[in-house]
Amino acid sequence: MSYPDPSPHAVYAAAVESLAGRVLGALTGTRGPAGPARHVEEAGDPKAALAAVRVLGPDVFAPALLAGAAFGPADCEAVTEAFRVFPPGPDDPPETVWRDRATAALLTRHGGDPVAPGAQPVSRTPRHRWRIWAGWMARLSPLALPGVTGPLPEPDARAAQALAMGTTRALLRRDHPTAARLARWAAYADGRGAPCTLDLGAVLDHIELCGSGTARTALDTAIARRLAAGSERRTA
Amino acid sequence: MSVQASTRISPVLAGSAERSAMTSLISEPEAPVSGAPVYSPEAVGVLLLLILLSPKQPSEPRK
Amino acid sequence: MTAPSPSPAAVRRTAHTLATGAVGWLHRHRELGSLPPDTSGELTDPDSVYKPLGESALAASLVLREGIASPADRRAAEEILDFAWAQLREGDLLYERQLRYMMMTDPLELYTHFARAGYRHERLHALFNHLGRLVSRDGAEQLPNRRLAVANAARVAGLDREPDWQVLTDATWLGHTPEPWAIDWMTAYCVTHTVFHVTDWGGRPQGLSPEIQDYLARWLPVWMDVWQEIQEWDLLAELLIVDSCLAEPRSAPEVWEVLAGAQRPDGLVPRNGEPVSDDPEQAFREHHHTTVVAAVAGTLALSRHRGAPALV
Repeated sequence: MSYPDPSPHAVYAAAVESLAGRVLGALTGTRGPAGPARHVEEAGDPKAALAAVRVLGPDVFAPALLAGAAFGPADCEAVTEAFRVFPPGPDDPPETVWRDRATAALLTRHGGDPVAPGAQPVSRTPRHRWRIWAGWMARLSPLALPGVTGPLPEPDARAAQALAMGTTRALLRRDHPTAARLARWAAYADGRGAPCTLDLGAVLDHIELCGSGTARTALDTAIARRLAAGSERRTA
Repeated sequence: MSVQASTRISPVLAGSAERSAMTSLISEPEAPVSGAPVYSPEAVGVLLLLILLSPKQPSEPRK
Repeated sequence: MTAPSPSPAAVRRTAHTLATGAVGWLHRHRELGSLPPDTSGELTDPDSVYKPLGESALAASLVLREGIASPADRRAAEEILDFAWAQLREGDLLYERQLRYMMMTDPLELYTHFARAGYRHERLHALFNHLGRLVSRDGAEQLPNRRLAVANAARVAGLDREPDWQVLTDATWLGHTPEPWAIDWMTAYCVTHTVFHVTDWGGRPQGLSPEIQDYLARWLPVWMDVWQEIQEWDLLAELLIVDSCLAEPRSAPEVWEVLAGAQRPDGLVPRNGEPVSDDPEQAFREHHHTTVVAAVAGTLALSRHRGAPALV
């Protein structure tokens, strides 16, 4: 007697945590090659592993962009494969389109074959509605990486303040995953001449100490630490 | 060392349930319920001070 | 991309409705704040009636001070003050209480709202001056924002004191301009009260340093958002008062609409999202404070909000 397959959500979520842990390990220098190729190769469920590659998107390139790690042909192939099995669709929400475009650009830059990321340009929420804008930015946190064309090409003081407000709100609501994503953008802006109006070090320490404990959130805070102005481990 | 993904059977195109699961993980929304600070009498050590124009507090113990 | 300037009228319109409703409720229900007939200065339960009398007097004194109320609201404010002053036996009850409890500051803090509106009790005034000169009063164990409360009360009542406002403010949480996310509910109230007293309820916005003005302009919108989300109307209204105490109030019309939306048709403003009791005395006990705060918030915004846009 067979049962209908349950949603693979839980299995995919575990795969995402696993891949996020690998990427994090590469950034903190605690583990070896963290490319998606190794992740897919070692996974018990290759489809889940590929789903994780799609979910993390641009962040699979973080070790290459931030820690000088290698991203070779096999890694490119893994990303391409992930797009083949989980192709972008016409109904994808705007944030997914943004992320896929960034992933596609990073892939070509590292020698991979172009993937079709969905071409619709997306409008951005006006920044004066800080709460809504911050929510939007949180969903785009994997684009907060050096060399990625994202929604904040020229951060200014207003953007920095809006990000700080969103981060503060998330911390007060004890929504630490969102706080980590926004702190990451705040660090990105900070590293590009729009200083954060919060003590980012204290924010990141706080999130790490009382946050959700997930690898995904830890990855956002680790990347944030590297993006802030004055951080030593940045590649152009 | 070049690892060929094709040495294993490639997964087939994702079905709709699989796509849904993947896309739902992509952009997690903010926490639906706020954990913002509220009044907690056990956290306030100076409850017995008569604080004019402060919010209504539980009645003080009898002297 | 700049924030659009809200229409100056939008905030003031909502603030006016809020204030008039709240003042009306305070006026109509003032008898619920009657002290029992043989009340002495000892007051077995100061929170139940004595404190509300002072709070109503505060709201009424500010309505009169701001000077732009309608004739009906003005009359209501005067009657609230007359009623409360009579309840306190024209100040004699405060005098008894201050003699009985030398270290208590509430007699001064209540008296000052009447003084603001022009009432005077000569012996009480002399007693306050005498006690205020004692070293014991300087050394009294007090939270920093309470120290400011006493300093402002002395200032408004016209006592012979010259506090060092800078030192007093520096000692508060707000004076440190700390991480805006490292705050709890009670500390939020310490912030609001610090601002109330340093600025004398918006009468002296320049009392706050430029650094603190900037800090509040940046973080008030976040605090307002967080606490309105969980329907903490009392704290939200106090934060709106804080905004009106700044040199440039910037609170958005939308926030005022949320608070006005919580106000009941009879003018009562509930302290939070929980249901309001049908028993008038219980409703008075539980929500009088918030209705006072709403009356003050609406009154000050009506006279002070000029429609300046938010920082972001």
